[in-house]
Amino acid sequence: MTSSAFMYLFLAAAVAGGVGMLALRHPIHAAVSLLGTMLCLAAAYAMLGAHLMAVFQVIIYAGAIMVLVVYIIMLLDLGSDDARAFRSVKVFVGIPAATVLVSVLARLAWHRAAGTEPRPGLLSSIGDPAAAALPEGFGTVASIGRDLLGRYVVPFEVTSVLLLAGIVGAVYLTGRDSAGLKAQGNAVGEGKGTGDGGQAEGAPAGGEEFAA
Amino acid sequence: MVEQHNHYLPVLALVVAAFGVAAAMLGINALLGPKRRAADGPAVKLEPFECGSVPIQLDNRRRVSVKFYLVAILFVMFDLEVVLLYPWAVVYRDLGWFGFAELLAFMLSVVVGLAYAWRKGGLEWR
Repeated sequence: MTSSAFMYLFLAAAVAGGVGMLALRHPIHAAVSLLGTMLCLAAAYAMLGAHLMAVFQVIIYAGAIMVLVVYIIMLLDLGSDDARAFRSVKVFVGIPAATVLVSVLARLAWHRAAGTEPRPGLLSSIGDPAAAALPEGFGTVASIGRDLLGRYVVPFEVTSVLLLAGIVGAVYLTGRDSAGLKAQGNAVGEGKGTGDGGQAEGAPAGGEEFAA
Repeated sequence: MVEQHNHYLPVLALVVAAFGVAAAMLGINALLGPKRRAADGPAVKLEPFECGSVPIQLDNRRRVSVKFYLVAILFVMFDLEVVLLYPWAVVYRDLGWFGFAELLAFMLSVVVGLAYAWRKGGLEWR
């Protein structure tokens, strides 16, 4: 099972990238680790037959989202020690999330050891790619393209409105619109007097808004 | 299973070539370049040269201008748009004019977004 070996290799590298992202002190090093994780996940998607997802993972996550992440790091010029400010976030978000993930994996491992089948769902076909019985061409770019512009054409068109809202929101929130500038100036308090400082505070808020 | 992934061989070749070029640039430089380092002379040789005076600022990282922020956000938005063209481009011969009309409708609102950003000076450097 060469492909299983490659699958485990990519997934192990993805986990290693995640560990590196948490363990490395320098923000840029952590960002490069995250990039490695994203690329390894893209390889895993491709091996699972989700070829378009692999392409999206590379172009959107490893390309576009990483641009934002690295840009915010360089904008704020976070030093290695500034990461300590987020310790409470690590505890209150990280521990519950890790508990959920470990319990899901433990349940799968339990079922596999006992020989019973867990309810099909997340991760159930990992390690045995042949077990997933998919129709011919499933997950290829062509099949998704036909579905996207055929059965799911309305969500596809609505996506463009979502993109339009994102563009308009970005232009408005960065103060290119004079009304937006006024609103932002009131929110910051001092307006243009602080220059870069005031706008830099607005920048991460905009990033969160996009991520949500 | 492995045979199905043969169309990823060009990707593998690209990865190997990219790492190969980077490794060659660093490796050949390390092999052939002159090695006169601190061991051969005073450690001051490793310091940045600043017209003979003591360097003012050794940490050369600077905050990137916030002006890039809108550029970055707009890049992400239009990147998301372009990536949705990819599945269309693969099947547009099968879809014919109907698929073309669907894509025009999709592009229309994105182009409206581009026009808005342009009109509001979002593409200006300020």
